[in-house]
Amino acid sequence: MKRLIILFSLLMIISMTAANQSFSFSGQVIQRGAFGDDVIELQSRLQYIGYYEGQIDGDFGWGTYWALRNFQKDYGLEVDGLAGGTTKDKLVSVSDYDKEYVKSNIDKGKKFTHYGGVPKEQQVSNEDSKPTKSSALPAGYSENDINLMANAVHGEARGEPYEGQVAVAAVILNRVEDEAFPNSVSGVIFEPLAFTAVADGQIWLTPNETAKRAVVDAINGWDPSENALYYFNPVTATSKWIWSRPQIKKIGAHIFCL
Amino acid sequence: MKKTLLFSVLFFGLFSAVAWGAYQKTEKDMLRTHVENQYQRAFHELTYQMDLLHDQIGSTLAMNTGASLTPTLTDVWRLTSNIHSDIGQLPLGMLPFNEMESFLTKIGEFSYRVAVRDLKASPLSDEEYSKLESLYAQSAELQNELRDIQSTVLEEQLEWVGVEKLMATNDEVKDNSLIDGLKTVDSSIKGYTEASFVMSDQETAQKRREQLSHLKGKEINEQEAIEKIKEFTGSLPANGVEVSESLKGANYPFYSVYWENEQGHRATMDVTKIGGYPLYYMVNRDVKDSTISLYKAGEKATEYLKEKGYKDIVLDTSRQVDHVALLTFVRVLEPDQIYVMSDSIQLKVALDNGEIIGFLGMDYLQNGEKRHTSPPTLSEEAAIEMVHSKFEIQETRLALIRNELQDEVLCYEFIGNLGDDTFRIYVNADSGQEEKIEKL
Repeated sequence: MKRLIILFSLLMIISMTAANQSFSFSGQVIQRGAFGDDVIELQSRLQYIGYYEGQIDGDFGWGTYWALRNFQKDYGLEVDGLAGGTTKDKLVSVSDYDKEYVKSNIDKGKKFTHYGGVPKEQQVSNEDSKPTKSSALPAGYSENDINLMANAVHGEARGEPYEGQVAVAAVILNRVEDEAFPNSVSGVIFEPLAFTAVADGQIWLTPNETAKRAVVDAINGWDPSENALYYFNPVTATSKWIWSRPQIKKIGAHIFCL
Repeated sequence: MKKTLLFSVLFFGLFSAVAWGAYQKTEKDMLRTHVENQYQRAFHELTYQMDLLHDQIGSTLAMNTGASLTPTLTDVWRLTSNIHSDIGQLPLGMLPFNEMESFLTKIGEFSYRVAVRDLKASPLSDEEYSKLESLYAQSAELQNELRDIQSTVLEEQLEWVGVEKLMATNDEVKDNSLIDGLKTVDSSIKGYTEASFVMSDQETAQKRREQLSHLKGKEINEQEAIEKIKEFTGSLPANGVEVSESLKGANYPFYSVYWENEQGHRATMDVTKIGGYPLYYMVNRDVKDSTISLYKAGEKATEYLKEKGYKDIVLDTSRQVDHVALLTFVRVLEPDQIYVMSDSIQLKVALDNGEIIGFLGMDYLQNGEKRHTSPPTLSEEAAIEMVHSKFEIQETRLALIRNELQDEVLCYEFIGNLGDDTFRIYVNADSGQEEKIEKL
């Protein structure tokens, strides 16, 4: 009997601590730059108590960051802009999160808010919100720039090893930077006679995921070509001039040069 | 009866073939004319803008006062950029026309630099005036040469489409007056650029950085390169490692190494020949889900870099792209805690298992020259006075950045809000000038 009581009280303690924990958040520390379900919950909860006014999109940007800091300041927590254990517990205890409601609205792409105290019907407007991005993009580039570059990379180098594809994307970006070439991605790609894939229309083939990944790597700074401005296939190149350029390295079928 | 039927079928067939052919021909001619007109427009636009450029440089010479010089110089800058975009639309392909383009960029940079300066406080120097004079003479010659080509194009009805075809098939084009003319223009410009634009100290420093010539260390061989990489990545197998050396034209010699790691993903890494410094490392892997947080990835990456001997850097920004953490580290100079934004290292961490799948050390190496920094002369309070009164400052630190003119300047970095948006403002810590403003 005594054992049973001990066991029972132990169970009670466990379940009580469990109830106090922020069980809906995952156990991870959430910080600026993060993306995903934890961020959606964080934004929703901050909005519920009136700290966050932006769109609930699961993207931990600066707006969410300031909201979180203000919350931390007002509730006497350490102001570090990180959603760690204590901050999350406090947030859970003072706000409500209706996962179904928030998720269903994000899926429907409707404009909505999640302020506590406001009736649910008034939180949704029938206006469509901007489609949420799949993930954070590198600064200064739109989804369309990336698609255009991915088209070019796929058309020019789809049979090449991965680093060869990143290198082709890097050459496009090196040209944008260089003074002797047009100053935009589209200007460089569509410069007449600059790329064979543009001239023969192969640029309009649908790019695969690898080409896209290669482009994003190049935009983030990776450059296997080591600052090249030109490349050519030594087997098919007819131009004498291109052979006169200083050569940097060979990747797959391409020689990269300055 | 049978014969008539046969003939009428044959006749009908022939008729439709001819009609179809004629239709195709008109269609093709129409497209060709359309393309030709686009090229002609770009070319004539180019010569016209060159005229304007020459005139505008002339006007700056005649002007004396700072106030009216700024708009004229800004116009010079605008025109160079217009000409630049016209050139980008011509089918020049492998025809070397680079000298022309870099000459234009240099004129543009020069006029912009002078235009944004407070010309009342510091008017044109004698040196700058004589530079403008020589630019005026040079642009006159360019203008004439281009005008000559233009009149030949009009007289002989030269077609750009024809040039395009020639260029696409064969680069040893002879006796095409258009191509010859443009080649002449380009080679005469080469002399101008050298005469008018002597490389400044910053440009030579830039060049030195690009060639990584400040790196110290002993030259390593292939085997040592592999050892270095094994130590750095921890994922080099015993067999199947390919090493290749950079070719002769590389600015800095390096080794490239390719291998397949234990999970069968292709990995590649470049290290310099001098000292074996890592340039970049990359694993081609599609990360499908996240189990660790961005925060955790940041901790792992910091530890990793510490282990590899990068001691003077801190994590500056982190960003999650799908299931990959992209982390930027920057160098911090003690004792004043100055963040050097150009000396950065990027790391990619897979969020499914915390593996390091990318490293980028080029910027850190390139800019990593020793610096002599002196503490700021302007106080933080005085710098705050310089920013917009509605800007709410949330975070402050000292940072070394490159401004629009590529000079390295010590700044106060303020991050804060203006309305709903977040901005980063750099205020020069000596002059109080707002050097750079970024919307975040």
